[in-house]
Order: sequence, then structure tokens, then C-alpha cells
Amino acid sequence: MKILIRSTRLSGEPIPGSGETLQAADCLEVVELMRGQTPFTASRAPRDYMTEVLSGIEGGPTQPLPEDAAAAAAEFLTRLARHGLIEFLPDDKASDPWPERFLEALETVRLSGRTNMLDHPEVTRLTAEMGYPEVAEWLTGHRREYAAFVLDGTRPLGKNFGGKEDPAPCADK
Amino acid sequence: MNLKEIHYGIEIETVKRTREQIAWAIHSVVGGTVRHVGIPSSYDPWEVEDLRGRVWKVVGDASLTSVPAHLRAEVVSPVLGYDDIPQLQEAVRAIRRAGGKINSQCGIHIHIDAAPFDGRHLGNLAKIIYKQEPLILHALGISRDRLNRYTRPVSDELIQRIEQHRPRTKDQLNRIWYGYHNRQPQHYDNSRYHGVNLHNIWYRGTVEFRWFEATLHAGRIKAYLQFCLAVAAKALNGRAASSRKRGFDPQSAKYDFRVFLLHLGLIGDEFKTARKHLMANMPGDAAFKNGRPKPEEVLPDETTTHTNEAGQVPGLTV
Repeated sequence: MKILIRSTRLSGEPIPGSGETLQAADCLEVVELMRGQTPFTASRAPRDYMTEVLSGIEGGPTQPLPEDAAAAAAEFLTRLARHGLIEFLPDDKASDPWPERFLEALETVRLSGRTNMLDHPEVTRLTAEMGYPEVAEWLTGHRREYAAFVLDGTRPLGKNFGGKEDPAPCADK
Repeated sequence: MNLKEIHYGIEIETVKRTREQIAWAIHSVVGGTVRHVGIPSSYDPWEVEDLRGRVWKVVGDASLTSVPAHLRAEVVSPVLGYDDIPQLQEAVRAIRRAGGKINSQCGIHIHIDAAPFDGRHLGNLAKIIYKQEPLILHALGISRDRLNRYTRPVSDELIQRIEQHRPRTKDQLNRIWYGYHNRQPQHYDNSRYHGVNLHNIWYRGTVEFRWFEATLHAGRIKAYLQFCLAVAAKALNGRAASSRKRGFDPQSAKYDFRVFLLHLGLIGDEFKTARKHLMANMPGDAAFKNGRPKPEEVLPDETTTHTNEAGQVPGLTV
């Protein structure tokens, strides 16, 4: 999993559009990375560290974290996100690479002139028929990637956000 | 029962962003994993399973006809508790940042867990709403079209039947609501199109409030939630409720509605923003039932100043 830790103003307010990214396998590892960022927190036990951080944000005694360490880490991150202090980012998964003969298969189908290349089911059928079964199999499970490839010539990024920067925080409390 | 102990869910309709984009926006706040379920294809659902294992759904909504099908999204929250309101607000802000918009066709539906209610509580709920409905409808600024089609008011006949039969159980209320004992309610039953939809009790186990025009303003959504929870808590805690309908007086509307909100328990700093958003549309004065009294005209001073022949006050130089 991947998170963005937002920088904060002196008042503790998160600064939109700021921060640094941490990536780890699961919530526990993310908390370990956070804890290890300063020598002051690295020496603390994970549960004490999480409790201290939360009491600093929420003020006073906080709702206790679950007994289970993994559940406690998940709860900790959820509560940080609730205050806008962290943001969960999509993981950097390497997208499923297309088969070796993918481009060759599509070129063969295209030159045959037997279908509109946007007709995904027909292109899938023809690639199988023309001797590219592995490409047909890939196409069956990757309709979106195929559409993006045909329209843009690239892989879809799988990300949203219309390129807008974080707006100034508004008074919608 | 305290309003903070009642569970709820919310549905928020949005346009201008794909279901995938809305799902990723929610993920940015709740974490976990995003999955394209895709089935049934008419809803094309996306799911976000958050770090606590709860599932937020983003599905298509055929009623949003003014935008292309791929840009219609309805966010369906998991069952939430009072403490989850800040997280829900952050999710709403993330949807707004991602470019999600609303239009006049979008709405918000709030579902309150019906498990703690019996027939008497639900009768109380219907009567509380019926009594204050003119104020509530005005406060929420519901469009005429929505009021006529999707959020019809509580009917006089329903209240008369509740008064007459005094239901004790949900089954008794079922007969009153449908006119017969409906053991297999369907999703799209025509009786669902009321501001307070009791049909959902037997279909999904919730009381549905359908009044709200859509918004991506996190503060207003919180106000709507607190209002629904407070009405539900009032119905649960009250022994009985009056169904004498209150008239709408523009001069005292704001004052009357504020008193109603305070009676519901929306009092103090915690509910300050709820009162602000809910009373924003109301005419009149929040502090004075019959309008703010005008300050009395200051009478001219009785003492007269003597002037000399030139019209000047002695001792003053011009």
C-alpha cells in the first residue's frame, strides 16, 4: 500500500497538495516506516507511538486501538485519513504486460480488414482464429487496456483526478 | 437511545466523473482495495473495501439522464456509525476534488437502521415528520418536481390509520402502509417515493429519508445526517407524538424551526453547523417569534436651546 503524509501548519491543519509518499506491503509496515522517520519516535513501541500521535491530533484520551496489531495499524491510518493528514494512493502495480506477439497480432487483424478495431469481441475472435491464442486470451481479460491502447496508443493510467490541484480548504465543516 | 448510537447509511448521486474515478477518490480517504465488479452490467458496480473491511460501492444510476451513462455515479456507503461522519465528510471532499459534480437530477438518500424501531416508534416517527413537514420541506429547499415525484409528503390517510389502529409491531404497520399484509415487498414498489420511505423497512431493514437535494458540501451532508439521526432518536425515545399539523408562518418560521431542532436535541456547539445549514433557507428571525422588534424612535430632547437674533447659539462661534 502507498500513502501520502501531508505536511501540516503549526496549527496542525494539513496543507493541501503537500507531503511525502511512503510505500509498504501493509498497514503495519507503513506504521513502522512512519515511526522510523525520527529518532524520537523510532525508540517508541508501535502502539505507544500510534496512541501518542492520535492523542496529539484528537486531543486528550483517545478511543483505544484494537488489540490485534494489524487491526490497530489499520485503525490508526484510517483515523489519520479522517483528519486529512494522510491520503491513500493507488499502488504502483506494474500493469499486466501484453503478450509478446500482441502488436503483430493486432497488425495482422488490422490488415485483414475484417473488422473495426474498436469491436473488441470481434478482434478477440479474429486473433484466436489467425493463430494468436495467447493474445486472444489476454484481450478477453483486458478490455479497458485494449480500448485505451487503440484510442491513445498507451496504457491507461488507472488514475483519476482531472489534473486539478487541491483547492484551498473550504469552510464546509 | 442516543442519536449517536443509531447506525445509518447514505447514498450520494454525482455526475461528470466515471464510477472508477469516484471509487479512487473514496479510496484516497478510506484506503484498502478498489475492485471493478462490473456485474450486473446495468449498475456496473465498483467496490472499495476499506482498511476495516467495510465496502463502499459506486454504482450506475439510470435516473441521471442528463449525462452520458459512463458519467453517472451513485456512492453507496457501508453501514456507518456517528464516529464515521468525519471520514464520510473527507470522502465527499475527495469526490469534489476529483471533479465530481451534482445537478438538479441528483439526490441524497439517508438510511437509518430500523432494527431498534417497533410499530409504535415508527408511528411516532411518521407523526413527528407529519407535524413539522411544512417547516422541514421549506428548510431543505426541495424542488417542486422532486416533491411531486420522488419525495411525496406523509399522507393524511397514513396518519389517520396510525391514529386509528395504533400499531405496536412492524407487521401491524406493514398492513397500514400497504393496505394489506405485504410479505414480499419489491424494490421498486410505488410506495417508496415518499420523503420518509417506510417501504424500505420490510425490503432492506432501514427507514429511508429521500428529501435531500444532492450536494457535495461536506458540512451540509453532516447536517442532513444529524437531523435524520435526531428525528429517529426522538421517535425512539418518545412515548407518544402529536400529529397536529403545524402551519407555515413566514414571520415565525425560522424561530419555530430552531425550537424544533433544539427539541430534537440539536443543541450546543456540536450541532452549531447543523443548525446553521438547516435554518439557512428559513424566513423570519431565529430569536424572535414575531419578528425582531424595531428599536423605538428616539424622541427629540425636551430641552430647547435658546438662540439669539442671528440664529446662533450663544457662546459658539461660527
